[in-house]
Amino acid sequence: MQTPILSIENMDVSFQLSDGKYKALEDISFSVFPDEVVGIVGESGCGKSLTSQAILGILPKNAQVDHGEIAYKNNNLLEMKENDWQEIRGSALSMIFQEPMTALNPLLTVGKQISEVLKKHTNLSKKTRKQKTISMMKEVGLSRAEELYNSYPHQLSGGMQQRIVIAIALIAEPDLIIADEPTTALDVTIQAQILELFRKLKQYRKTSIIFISHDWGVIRHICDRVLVMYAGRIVEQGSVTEIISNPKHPYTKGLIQSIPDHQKKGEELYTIAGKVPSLKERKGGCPFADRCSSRLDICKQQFPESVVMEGTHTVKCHLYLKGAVETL
Amino acid sequence: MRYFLYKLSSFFITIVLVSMIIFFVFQLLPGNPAHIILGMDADPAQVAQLEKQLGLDRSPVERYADWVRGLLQGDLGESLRYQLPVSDILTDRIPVTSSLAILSLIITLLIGIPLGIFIARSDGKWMSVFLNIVTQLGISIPPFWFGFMLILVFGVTLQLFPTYGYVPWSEDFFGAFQSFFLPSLAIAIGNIAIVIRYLRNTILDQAKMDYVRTARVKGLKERTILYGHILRNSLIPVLTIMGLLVADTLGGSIIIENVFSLPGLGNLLIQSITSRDFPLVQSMVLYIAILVLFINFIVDLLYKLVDPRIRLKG
Amino acid sequence: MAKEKSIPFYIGIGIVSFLLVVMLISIFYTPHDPNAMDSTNRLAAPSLEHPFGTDNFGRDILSRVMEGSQTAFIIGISAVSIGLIIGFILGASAGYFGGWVDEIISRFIDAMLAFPGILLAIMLIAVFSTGMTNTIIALGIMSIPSFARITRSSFMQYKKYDFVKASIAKGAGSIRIIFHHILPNAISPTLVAVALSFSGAILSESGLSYLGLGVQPPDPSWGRMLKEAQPYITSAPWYVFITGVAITLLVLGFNLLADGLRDKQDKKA
Repeated sequence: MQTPILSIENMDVSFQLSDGKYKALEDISFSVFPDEVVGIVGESGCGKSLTSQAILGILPKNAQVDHGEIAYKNNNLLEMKENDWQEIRGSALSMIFQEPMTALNPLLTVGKQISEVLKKHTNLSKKTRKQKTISMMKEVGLSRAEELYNSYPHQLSGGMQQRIVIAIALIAEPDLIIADEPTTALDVTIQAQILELFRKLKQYRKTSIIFISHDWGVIRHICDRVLVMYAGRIVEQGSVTEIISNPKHPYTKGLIQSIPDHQKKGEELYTIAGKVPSLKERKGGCPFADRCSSRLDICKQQFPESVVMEGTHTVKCHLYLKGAVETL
Repeated sequence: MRYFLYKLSSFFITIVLVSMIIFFVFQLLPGNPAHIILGMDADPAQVAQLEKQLGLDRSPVERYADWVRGLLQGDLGESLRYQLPVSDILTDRIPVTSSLAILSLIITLLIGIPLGIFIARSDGKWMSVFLNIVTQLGISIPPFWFGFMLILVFGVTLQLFPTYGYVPWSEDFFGAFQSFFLPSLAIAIGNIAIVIRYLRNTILDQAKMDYVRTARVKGLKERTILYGHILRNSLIPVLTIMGLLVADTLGGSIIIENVFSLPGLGNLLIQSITSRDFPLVQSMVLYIAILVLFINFIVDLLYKLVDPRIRLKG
Repeated sequence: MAKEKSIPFYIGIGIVSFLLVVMLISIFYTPHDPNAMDSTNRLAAPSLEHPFGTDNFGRDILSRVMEGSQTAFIIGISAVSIGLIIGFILGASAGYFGGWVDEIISRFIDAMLAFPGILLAIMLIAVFSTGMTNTIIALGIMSIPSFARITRSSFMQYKKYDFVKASIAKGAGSIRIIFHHILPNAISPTLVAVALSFSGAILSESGLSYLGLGVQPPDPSWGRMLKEAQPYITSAPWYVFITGVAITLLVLGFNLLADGLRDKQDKKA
């Protein structure tokens, strides 16, 4: 088997709030292999962004990894010094954000913001850095790159700004890019263009991608594998085709059922009743129990072990644990 | 361009209004100004002559028109006490006050900005309570009293600086610097505290911005993020309070010049009030007010020039 | 978080209450007669008899500082009241009527702000002559702009709000709208401005009196005392020191109070 680019083992992350410590992520384990696109789905507040922040070591000040391991090519990132972290960040691991407008510094030219990464991570001359930056800008679809090099973010459209953010993430040729809802803030037509860009990148660059989204349409188009997160836990994972055609966890089923569909036009859109419990509302047992229509007695008392369904498809739900069926 | 014209026109309108306020206030001198100036038992012939000199035989509107016409030609009127054109008297005084103001502003920025940055980096709960109180203290100290304390410590006890008087720059550069240093520092105390508070707040606000997260993801060092990204965005808002700082500095110099016996505008202003030299007082007040307006106007334009979001709007 | 933030606020309240009590006591009792001269005991260093020493006429400095607090409070309260009333009328008219009324008043306020520091007060005193009353009037006028601005923006802001529009549509009278909707919302920013103007007035008074343009003898004044103390800065440093500390404390108290009020206001918003 291939060695993974990134592998996370049993990671717990918690927030220190004024009235105590709260677990925000629990028992997160997954791997990303070379040349693979892994999607993370879930409603907001489920810990998708927090997971990516933990991987890059940019957690908010009051949050910390309590337990577990994050390994980049067999190096445990959590044991690294801040200086070594910085060497990896931006060059081996990088990230693309949701809001391109605010992700860019309004007072620096976009050219400088891209080439800055090369300045930090390479010994290239100023001239070469500029050349590489311009060719990168062209690669992400900015045809007038030479002109745009010296422009400021506010002079560009949202789509162009997102291309700049993507160029920043790609310029140092990282092994893994985390894209945190990179199309959510954009217009529908621009969304399609940016997705197209991702598909090309996937094709031509051998870069692994973690693609965070709540849009199954996007996930289906781009990802190989998908993780479903709920209230700080991974509740189901497997290949995209398998999960979409054969979802196991009630939460995943609900999510897939609520995808708008042309064939169901006119019908009321399905929604999962209730909302994600906030950090302080989480109790023991399965966090989805309160919203689950197939809830068992045990669900409120104990969080289920992982069950292997088929190949890489695993689910954490009492419905599929041995013995559960008998009590039905 | 439209912005520039708008600012320019409101600059001039405000000047006109300021001049009207000043002129109007001086019309309110109770009783006969000539009598006030010369005293009650003055020679009637002298009073009549002064009335003529002050233009009291004409209507206020005419006098205002005369004053403005004079001002536009650079004629600020004539001092009663010195029997000299006001502009000549001011020429001697301006270098003193402007040296004081400029040095004070330099001290303010040189101390305030690094301290503001340093303090923004050390943000513990109790630290911020402590800093809040210390900077409030800086704002609350009467600058002239702080001047006394500086004289006491650096002038009298340590004997590092002269405690009064003035040496022109052309005569002895180091001596001039020494004579201006303590008064400039005294004026600066409140402004330093203001800059520290303001800069710290903008840095802490900027540090929460998304672009800082992007910079962190690039793998940049915290130092690079602070100086290359955050500081730039934090210093622009500081520019907006420059106008305020300049006004404070000029206002502060009025009192401080009297503490350190520096022959500047503030010193002259108080002397002229004591000797009832009203034409001189009137022109000086207008001069100082216009100076403040002008600097504010420039700061406003500079602010727009520095920020590409506004500069490149077209 | 909330706890640490309000510490400066409580310190401010503590300082102001302390000085208020000292002021109230001084009306009935001071350790010595503040005006009793004693030529045999001039510029005496602090002692049990005179905890802050004596001045150049042998007067007890502690008693004079205590008496000076009366002047400081009188000037602060009166000047702020003048500024508040006139500023409120100007700001309310500008904000409520808008249009050319607003234009004229706002320009006028801008023009007043062109006078840096205490220059406006100095000009007014130059014309109307010195003394307690004129100092109060001059400082009151100086504090008009801040109150006018706050009132104006409250009126403008709340005029836009739907609930105010709805009341107008329901036919509620202007007076009713002002009292029920606009004023309650303008209170907290105005309180901040009151505290700031108070500290500003005390600071300015000390400056004016130091220049000989403010309060005149026999009225006691901290600024005036500093002017008298200046020649003895080397022979009796405690004289200068104590008087300045008194001014600083009162100004600091009100500034901390204003800052705390502003924090509370921000939190609510």
